[in-house]
Amino acid sequence: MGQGLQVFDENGNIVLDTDNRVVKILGVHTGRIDITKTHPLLLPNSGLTPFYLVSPALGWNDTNMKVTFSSGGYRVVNSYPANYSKTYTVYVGVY
Amino acid sequence: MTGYGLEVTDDNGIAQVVDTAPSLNFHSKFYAPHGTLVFDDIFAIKPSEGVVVNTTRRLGNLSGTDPSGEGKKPLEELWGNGTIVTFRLGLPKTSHGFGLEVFSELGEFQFSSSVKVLRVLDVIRMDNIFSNKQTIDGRETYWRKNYGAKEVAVIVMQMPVWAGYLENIHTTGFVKRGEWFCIETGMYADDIPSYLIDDALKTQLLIIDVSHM
Repeated sequence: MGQGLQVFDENGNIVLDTDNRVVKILGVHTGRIDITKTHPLLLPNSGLTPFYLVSPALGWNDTNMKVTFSSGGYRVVNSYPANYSKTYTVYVGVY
Repeated sequence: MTGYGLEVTDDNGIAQVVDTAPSLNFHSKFYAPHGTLVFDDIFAIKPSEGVVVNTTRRLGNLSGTDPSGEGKKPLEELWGNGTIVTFRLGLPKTSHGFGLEVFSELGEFQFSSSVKVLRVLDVIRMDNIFSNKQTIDGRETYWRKNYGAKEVAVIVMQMPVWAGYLENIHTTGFVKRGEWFCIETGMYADDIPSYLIDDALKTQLLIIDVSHM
């Protein structure tokens, strides 16, 4: 790459480049919740892509965990029963 | 742009580092044989060459010793073998005296160039992974992509491994074949009656770059 931002660590390995994206975490949520949040990085002009991680991974038929994105915000709904819902942690971010 | 604070923006105008949102940071990497219990919230699977690997959920219902000593219960169990790469938020505040370090206005660690960060290559979402099935080089393949010389791993958001009503049966997995990262039928699928695996299997995956980690 001949231009733009690159950041290397002390061993000369690349940490930042423009052909892949650093994840930025906007919120971490656990337990039975229905929460809506806003963040400027979720606005369309940020050029970033929203995503979420669920830990542990959802099973094929899990429908009680939903994350939706809108312009400038997101909503996390964890409607599992109280004890079971504590098992799941949702990381919402952009890259 | 947020209009305030620190942002490091790449040459495409995309914010790579901001002081309002932390990165996910490399924490550990270890070779994991079949049956390894995984305790970390955020982990990626880096398959060994030619070995189909995935995990099955355990949700703490297997006894195991948490190697970190933090008293966690196992979340997943590895099927096949490969390398596990773990990530965490909020590493301790440190100063290495070189490179780029970013903290929030509250002093929370956000980014350091001396810490390897999670870098996304692709997000994959399929409502029915089996609808993508094709035969490539004689193998049942659901998805693949050539990532060249990059070392690639996968974070599973929604499992492609459940087989209809038999939840612990492994049907698909991840495998590296040269420069290709593939999702293929796994080693335990042979004995499963087809009527058990024709349900729509929603799959969500994050493909990440773990080069030099």
